[in-house]
Amino acid sequence: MVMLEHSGQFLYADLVSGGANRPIWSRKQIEQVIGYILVAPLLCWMLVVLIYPIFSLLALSLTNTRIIGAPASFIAAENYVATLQSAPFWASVARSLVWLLGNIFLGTVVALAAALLLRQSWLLARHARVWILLPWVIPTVAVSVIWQWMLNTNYGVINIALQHLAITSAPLNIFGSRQLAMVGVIVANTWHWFPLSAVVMFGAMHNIPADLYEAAQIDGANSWQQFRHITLPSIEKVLFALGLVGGLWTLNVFDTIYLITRGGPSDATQTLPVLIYDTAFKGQRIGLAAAMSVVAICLLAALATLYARIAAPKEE
Amino acid sequence: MKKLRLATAVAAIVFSIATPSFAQQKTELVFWHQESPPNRVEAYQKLIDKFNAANPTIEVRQEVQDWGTIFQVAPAAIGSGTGPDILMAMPELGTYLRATGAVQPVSDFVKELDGQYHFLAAATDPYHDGGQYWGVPLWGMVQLLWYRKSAFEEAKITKAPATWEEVAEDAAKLTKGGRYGITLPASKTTATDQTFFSFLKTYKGENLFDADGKIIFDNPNAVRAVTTYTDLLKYAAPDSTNYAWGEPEAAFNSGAAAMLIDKGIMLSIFLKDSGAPAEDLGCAPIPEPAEGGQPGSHYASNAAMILTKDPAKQEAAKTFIRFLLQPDNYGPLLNAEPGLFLPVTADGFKLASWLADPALTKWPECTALLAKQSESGGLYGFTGGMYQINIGPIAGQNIIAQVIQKVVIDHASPKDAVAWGADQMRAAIK
Repeated sequence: MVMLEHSGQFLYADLVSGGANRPIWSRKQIEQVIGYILVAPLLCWMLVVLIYPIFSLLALSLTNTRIIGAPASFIAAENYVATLQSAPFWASVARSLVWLLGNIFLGTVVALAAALLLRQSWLLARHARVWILLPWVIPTVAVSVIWQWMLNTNYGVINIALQHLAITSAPLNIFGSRQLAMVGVIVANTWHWFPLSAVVMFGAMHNIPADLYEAAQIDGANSWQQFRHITLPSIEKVLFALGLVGGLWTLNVFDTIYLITRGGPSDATQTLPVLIYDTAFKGQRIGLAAAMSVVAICLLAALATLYARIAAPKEE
Repeated sequence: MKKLRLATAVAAIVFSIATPSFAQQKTELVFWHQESPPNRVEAYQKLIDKFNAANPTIEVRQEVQDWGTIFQVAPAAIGSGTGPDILMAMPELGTYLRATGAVQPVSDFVKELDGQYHFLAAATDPYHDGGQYWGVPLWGMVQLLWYRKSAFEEAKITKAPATWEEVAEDAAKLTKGGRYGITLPASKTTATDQTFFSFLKTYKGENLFDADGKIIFDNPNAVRAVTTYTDLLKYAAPDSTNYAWGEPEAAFNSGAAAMLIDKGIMLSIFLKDSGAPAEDLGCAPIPEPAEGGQPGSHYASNAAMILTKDPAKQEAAKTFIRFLLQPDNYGPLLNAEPGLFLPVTADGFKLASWLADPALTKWPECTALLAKQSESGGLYGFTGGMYQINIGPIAGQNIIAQVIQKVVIDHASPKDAVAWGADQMRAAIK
């Protein structure tokens, strides 16, 4: 062991000094090389699982492939022209934006409210810090079934409650209505994902120094003013990161929508991922769906850049 | 003594090497089907065990797939060389898989079996294209009008409706006190496609294509069928737009709806799910329009397609299919889901091993009616002796069901909805 350590020290010193106290590589350069060596496996892995599929997708989008394994020919940019001229494609882009904004708005409000409640020192709040994660750990399939039942027209508990409270006179056909179906899937998705955001926000709030609030109280600030001028600015960076990552996740959600409405009724919840799936596997146009995916990636990148420009917290 | 030991050791080594080579001579067949309910899987396994025991050189293994994903899974598996040797397919799936080049023609084999058991034309036609048969039909499925006799008595209706006009009249009388006159699916699913196709067939609007493969869906008969279907939805639950197969069956069995258009599966599930006596279940042929109609129903046969190119496996697959169609085995195969799976051979309808199932003996008149309705059945894309390879994207996207949704959800007129549907079909096959 002593020998090994000694040997290791010797080699390291040798590299730095060149064996005769002449430096070949600086310590910084050696650390850089080691860094690259350590990162290399990850880069290779990313090359396999990320770059190859993207190039494969690009290649597919230039062909008229209809079914996996069936012969196809090169058709240049025809699929891209068809995508950009497709009314259903742009309609699904619009629906995706509604889906995104609905989820971001509702998800942020609910998560923020939950995080504020978790911050309290009540016994219930302390227990809730663990149990709040429950909706998040439930599999999406189960979440979809739960919400299909809860919002069911005939026996759904929410419809029954709305009628008992005299908010509605007849049961709402939520997943059978063009206007309400999107609201229904947004509510289900928010319920599934808000705990994660709430816990992250709670963590960020936990790091705010208590003396800030004490000073504000001494200055006569009420709860709203404390929230507006201390809490919110302090978690601004976390909110930005959640908005960016959560937004990209939300736009890519397929399972919740497909399991609850399959994109219906009458395509009312057919967001981009659902349209791409339908085009590829139901419409048997894999090449066209690949082109739609490439355009969707570009749109997502543009949206993320725009968001970063507008909403990024300003460094003081 | 040394020589004996040496000889014993050599013999042991030779035997140990030779044994696996004997085992390797077994022809292994992977059999895919999409009948996932446990009772069906169990029935298949019993037959497979019987076959494997009787054929020591062949080993069949079933792998259960899902109808919801088979259109994606099968081509991917075939493309990666991990596909099955035999796959149970409906005609639409058959057209889809043929594009991969994996489906093997089985014309001589179908002719051989036809000579023995006499296939129904409605069962074999959807697998016949380019002068070749591409699958061996094993069972068919057809729809009937099912009704609750107790609800009819309560509403003082004395006979089952024979026309769509009578269905509407009866549905109006039956809709009261939280009960709906009829239950129909109106979701964007195969359930709506198939149920509505029964209407289309009786209105003589069943041909989606002409002989040249052009879409002719936008015709007055289709408009009449859509009008009738969507009018009847007024006597159905308001959330019918979410209904596929399970929901209408549940509504009917729970007594929340008095009439249902469904396959023969009702014979399997009615007693278990409704808690009502067998006498409460009535059945009738699919109604027809009072004027200018014809008998008809959605009818789909399921066929075994051979996907292996290995001649030895192809022969083994034929041995297995022959085994399934033998009288002793065919009844148990069909009764994997009694009433739902119907014979596809003239001889099959007389099989004691099929008719002996308790679900069929309770409703002999419905069993006979299922057999009769099979004669006038048809399937979109395969009507009038046509084989439209382009039906895949139309069926896959549920364009027929979307036409119904256009009227019910978007409040389009039936004429506009049919015109829209025809445009969608043209775009799908472009």
